[in-house]
Amino acid sequence: MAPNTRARRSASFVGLWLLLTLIWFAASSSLAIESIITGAAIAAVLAHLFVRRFPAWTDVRLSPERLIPFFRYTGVFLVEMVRANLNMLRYVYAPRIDINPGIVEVRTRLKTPVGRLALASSIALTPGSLVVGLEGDTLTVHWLDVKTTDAEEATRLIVGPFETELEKAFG
Amino acid sequence: MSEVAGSILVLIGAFFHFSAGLGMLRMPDAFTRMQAGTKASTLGNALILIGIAFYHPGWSLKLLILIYFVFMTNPVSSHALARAARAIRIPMAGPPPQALASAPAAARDGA
Amino acid sequence: MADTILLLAGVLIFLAIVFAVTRLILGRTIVDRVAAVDLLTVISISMIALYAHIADRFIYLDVALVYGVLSFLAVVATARYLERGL
Repeated sequence: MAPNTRARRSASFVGLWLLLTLIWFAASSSLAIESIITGAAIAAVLAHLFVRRFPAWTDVRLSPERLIPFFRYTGVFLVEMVRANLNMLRYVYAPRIDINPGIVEVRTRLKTPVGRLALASSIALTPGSLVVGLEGDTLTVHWLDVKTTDAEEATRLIVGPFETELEKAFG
Repeated sequence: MSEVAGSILVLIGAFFHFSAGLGMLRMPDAFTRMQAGTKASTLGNALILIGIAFYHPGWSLKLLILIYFVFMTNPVSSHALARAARAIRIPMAGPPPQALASAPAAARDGA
Repeated sequence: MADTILLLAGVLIFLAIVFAVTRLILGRTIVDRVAAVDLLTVISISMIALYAHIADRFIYLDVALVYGVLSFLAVVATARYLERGL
């Protein structure tokens, strides 16, 4: 058990290190040797601290069968976000605001904390819903236009578009 | 040509910011205001930054980082705020089906 | 042509700021005010980026980034404070 955890931890450390160094390059937009060394060192320290203190990151693995669903999820997310905004424009410019807000609870199949975080953030940016609470596998959602109070149906309407892709990407 | 395309993207983004402000002003309670503000301003910000990238292709990487940054932080801060609002019992507009007992009818305070 | 469109965009952003500040003043509840500040910070990020284009200074984008980090921390800290005190 212990060697397995250690191997996974060092793998996720390397992944995070590469990611942070990449962000450093994009942010500094410089290829001077001092800049590269400083960036790599800072990224290593940050990645080490993060992997030690925040074990949830070790659930994230970078492999093709994880990355492809992630890109598909990005596409779904962008489409849903534009839809959400057009929806919001309809509410905002209506002469009389016609909404029926309320609180519903939905359940998610996602297991890992990072997957749940991604789901909650996506819900915040999609049509008429905002997460107000997250406990275990239950998300409390403020819904701008409550169509149903049934938990199953609400889950299908709110979580449905993202869950399949996120499940493949983050587990 | 690319300048006109960029400026049109900036204009659309500014329009979304305008809608976010209008929604912030018109919506009936704190939660709905937060929704209008978060969604429209996130997309508006992304469109404006993409429009600037049309003007300065060399800035694209950093503009991309800014877009990703806003996409990641904006939902988190609005979620934290909504959670706090619920914890301190900010009144909610409309007849909430489950929470009728906790939200007083006086919450319907039309903006 | 392009400059006129940018000017129009600036007017729209100005109006958005006016609306958000009105909500900040009218408030009603503390959460409304904090949400208005949150919206203002996102608008400010795009305004700083727009100014970076107008002044043609790449370095101003870093200002926008740092401003975004600080305002995100501010909003989250305020939310935490509202929820359970300091």
